[in-house]
Amino acid sequence: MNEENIYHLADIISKFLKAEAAPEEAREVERWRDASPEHARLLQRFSSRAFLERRRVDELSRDTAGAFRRFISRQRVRRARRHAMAMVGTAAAVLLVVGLLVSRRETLPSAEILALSAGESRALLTLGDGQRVALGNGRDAPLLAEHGIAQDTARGFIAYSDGEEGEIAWHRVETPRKGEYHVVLADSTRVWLNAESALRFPTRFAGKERRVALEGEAYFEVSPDARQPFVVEANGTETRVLGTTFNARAYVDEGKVVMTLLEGSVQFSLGDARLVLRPNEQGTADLVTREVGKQTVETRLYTGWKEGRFIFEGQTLEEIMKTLHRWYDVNIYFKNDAARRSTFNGNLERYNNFNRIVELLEMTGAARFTIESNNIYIE
Amino acid sequence: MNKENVNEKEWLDALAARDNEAYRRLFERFFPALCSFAGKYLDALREEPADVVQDVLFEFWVKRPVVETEIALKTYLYRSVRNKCLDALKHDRAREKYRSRQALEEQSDFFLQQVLEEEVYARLKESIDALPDVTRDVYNLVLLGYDNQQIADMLGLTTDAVKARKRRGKELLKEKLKHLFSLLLPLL
Repeated sequence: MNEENIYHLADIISKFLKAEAAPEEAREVERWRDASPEHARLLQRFSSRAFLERRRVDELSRDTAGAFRRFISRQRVRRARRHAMAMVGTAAAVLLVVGLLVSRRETLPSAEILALSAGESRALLTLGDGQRVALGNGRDAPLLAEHGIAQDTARGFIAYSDGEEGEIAWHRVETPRKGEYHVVLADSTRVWLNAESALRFPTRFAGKERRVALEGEAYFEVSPDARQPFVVEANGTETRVLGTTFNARAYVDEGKVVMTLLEGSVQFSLGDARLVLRPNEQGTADLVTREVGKQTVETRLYTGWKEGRFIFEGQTLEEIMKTLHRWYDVNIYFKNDAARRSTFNGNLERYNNFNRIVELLEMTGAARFTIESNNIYIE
Repeated sequence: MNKENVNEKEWLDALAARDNEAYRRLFERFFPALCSFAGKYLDALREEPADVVQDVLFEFWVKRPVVETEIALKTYLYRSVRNKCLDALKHDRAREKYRSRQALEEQSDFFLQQVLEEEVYARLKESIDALPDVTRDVYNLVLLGYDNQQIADMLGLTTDAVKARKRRGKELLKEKLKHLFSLLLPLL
């Protein structure tokens, strides 16, 4: 055995054990085995199922996801240090940029024209001690760094890192109407919050579960960790996962919680009623009848918002407007039932302003819109 | 170049470019193996294998050594972990352990045997990882010592479904690892 051929040896030995080795390879393994009693002992060891099982348990007991999070936070610490050094040199440049921002602010259009523009990246963060921080719009908040939270002002998200010590605090990120925001939790789980939604979560996860609470709508990419299930509470429902991607919609005024699963499997429950969702299945919990049910759906209709699209296929205008009114902060009034029930197909750009969306909807001839400030009348 | 080589090259390039998705894969592939490997060298009561491995992988990120093939990458990682472990023992009061470990290294293939074990397991475990998601989760949880009811609760299955998955997992693994699974699994 030498370092050059050890990987080749590993290859043919494992093929041998899987009964996949070509005759020539099998002979090579046998020659190696017979070359020394030590080799024979090793092959014996690798051939036992106990070896495979012991190694699997060993593998599962290593906290790979935690180690990776620690690795990422070490990167941040190192970059922050370097950044601090570079800052001194660029102080003058920063002053110049601030000057530009101040002068730009004066040229912003009036509030009336802004009223029907699309939502954007913004949110309010409430820290454990009740202090509040406005997020988004390229604002940098020094308070975040003090709490070990990284903010990417350009792309609009904050990220928690997995510190091993320190007290756990519960934070809350809340988006207003016309707002969306992206949070990376301490376990690297990614959450995209849609408009008028809120997520409450601990600054790091300890104990048997990773538990968060949602109001409104969010898209989750949960970091896999079979030993610490991730639990989302929303309007009395509980969604329990090991590591998956799903969209949760739980607006109180809609009277139901809708869970759309993209990957993996989740357990979705309301009280004693529970069911398991598989990819492309959607669970609905009716908050009035306290029943849960599921159906197969085309998931992109429910998750398009996260990719910056509004995707409709045969949805009624009433359903469509439920989505739009939070994003454009408009009030919708239907003048008659025909308009309410007319259905639409479409794939629209979410960052268009509302007037553009209305144009596209009116082109079908199925409905007419009258806009008075932010009240929309439809007939 | 075959497809595997292209992917390997892309991955190594992405590591050199400090792409964190590539690093996530590096952790998934090597972190548990390197921890187990380090554990063979370290005095378990004094040093955490995970800390040594973390340092090696972080240094890899900082220094970005040139590795042109996956074998060069493996050689770098196993050697760095071994060297760091021996250093840790040297600085430790457990010099005796260091001396005996070094003696063992010199008179036998200790290092190579440990690399061989990690690499053989890395290939065998592909058969487990290739199981359907739920079946694999069930298999893992059984090995971790959970009973049928606990697994059912965790995965949102009935206990009958858990039992069915166990049977299915056994069949599939028997199929793939013929020589290892010629006997019935006591666990499943």
